[in-house]
Amino acid sequence: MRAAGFRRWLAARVPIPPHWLTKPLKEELPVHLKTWVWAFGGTPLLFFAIQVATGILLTFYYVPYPPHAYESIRQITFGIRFGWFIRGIHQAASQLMFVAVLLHMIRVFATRAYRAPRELTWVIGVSLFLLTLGFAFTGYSLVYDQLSYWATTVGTNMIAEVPLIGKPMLYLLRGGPDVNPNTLSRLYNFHIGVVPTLFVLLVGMHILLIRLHGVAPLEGDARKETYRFFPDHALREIAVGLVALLAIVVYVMLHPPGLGERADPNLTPPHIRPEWYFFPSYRWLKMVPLQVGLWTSVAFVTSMLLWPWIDAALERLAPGRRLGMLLGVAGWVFTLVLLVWEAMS
Amino acid sequence: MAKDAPGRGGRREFLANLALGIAGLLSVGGFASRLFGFLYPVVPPEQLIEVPVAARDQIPPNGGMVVNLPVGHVALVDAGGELRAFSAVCTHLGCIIKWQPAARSVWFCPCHKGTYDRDGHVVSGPPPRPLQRYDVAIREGKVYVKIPYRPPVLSA
Repeated sequence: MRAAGFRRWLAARVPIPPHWLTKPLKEELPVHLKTWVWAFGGTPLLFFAIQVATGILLTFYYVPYPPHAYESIRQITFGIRFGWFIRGIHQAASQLMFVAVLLHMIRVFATRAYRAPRELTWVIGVSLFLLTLGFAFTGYSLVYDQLSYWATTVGTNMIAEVPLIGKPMLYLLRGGPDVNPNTLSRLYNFHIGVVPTLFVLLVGMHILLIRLHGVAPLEGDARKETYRFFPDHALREIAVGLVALLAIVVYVMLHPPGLGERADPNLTPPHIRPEWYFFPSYRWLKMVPLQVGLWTSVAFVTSMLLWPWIDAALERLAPGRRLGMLLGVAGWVFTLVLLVWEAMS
Repeated sequence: MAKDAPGRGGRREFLANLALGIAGLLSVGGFASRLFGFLYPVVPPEQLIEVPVAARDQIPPNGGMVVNLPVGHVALVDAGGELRAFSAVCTHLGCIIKWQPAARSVWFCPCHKGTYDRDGHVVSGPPPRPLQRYDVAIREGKVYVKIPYRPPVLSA
């Protein structure tokens, strides 16, 4: 009686029509989703939520000012009770978030779920992938060890090579011509403010578009059966999420986070290289002249963003030949080769 | 009151929308320019200053070294008795080069494996330009180099 009374009281004060809550749960999904492969869509969001939670905890101790930044990370990692665990979870979730977003993108690419009218869902998805890289880059810039400092120097210097607007953009990002205390404040602000805000907005738009369009049909699958989002699909996603959570915890227990040497702006250390997800770009920049590296990177990202239209144009050019798929797979394989090449060297 | 004729009403509506649009643009533009001005750092113009970097005898014959100063990084090299000075910042993506005695490639960048010779010219790797050369002078056994410098925005 009490619970019913409270529900009535709440419904009178927050008059949300009940179907707003129940309709998404009752949504009918095509039966091809009823496999574990399709249960990974929610994992990037789970990893993002973990990072928000652990990130808020880290801000209790982190000091975004160069003379103190490294020391505060050292304190978090080795001094504060369970600091290593919170930082380790934050770090591991960021890496897994990258992997989860990438796997989700590859799945959408392989099933060509980006075709009309779902082009904008894809564009937003690629933007979310780029923001994930932005999270990673700004995140490890904050550690202020040698890798962190020189990755910031190299990463931001690339912007200066853009004709006309390169230098002003570099100054704006760094808060001055060189890497300086303003740079750390700005990257910190991007990491905890600008990028997460954009990310949440885009995730909202992404999910809204998926809900409005419905799940993309699978090419060549004529089955008409459907099943409900809740409980079947939702529970499968939750199960994947719980396993991922367990994997992160076990990984961090076995491999607690470390810390490199304190940043030294006077000494670029030998054998320096970025985190593994930037390996393809790093290897490519070693192989080609800077302007070539810069513009091919811009072309690569642009072609990712415009892929639904490029694929449609190729389909019109040579119907049934799957030129888009061939080109896309070549691009993925090339990226993978660069990654493995750098990892092995 | 009688309604405006379609033509006159249209003109009036157009002018009202135009005025509203201009007012909107001015307010948004004014706000955006101040926002940009707030975020864009004050960058003082570069000026050349001469600074002492090392004693002449610190650089061995045909040897080289990198000197880190509060105002910049300088690479010094002795080329058959002639002293040359360069910026020690790699022209590729801004890492600090290292001295490594070798036949030609005496300067090495650890970031993307670019190398330069004693004249600061690119020998291998991705650097797009030679090292920036500085004027060098020797007085009373000390090496002075003219390097570009930006004074701080707020002096103490």
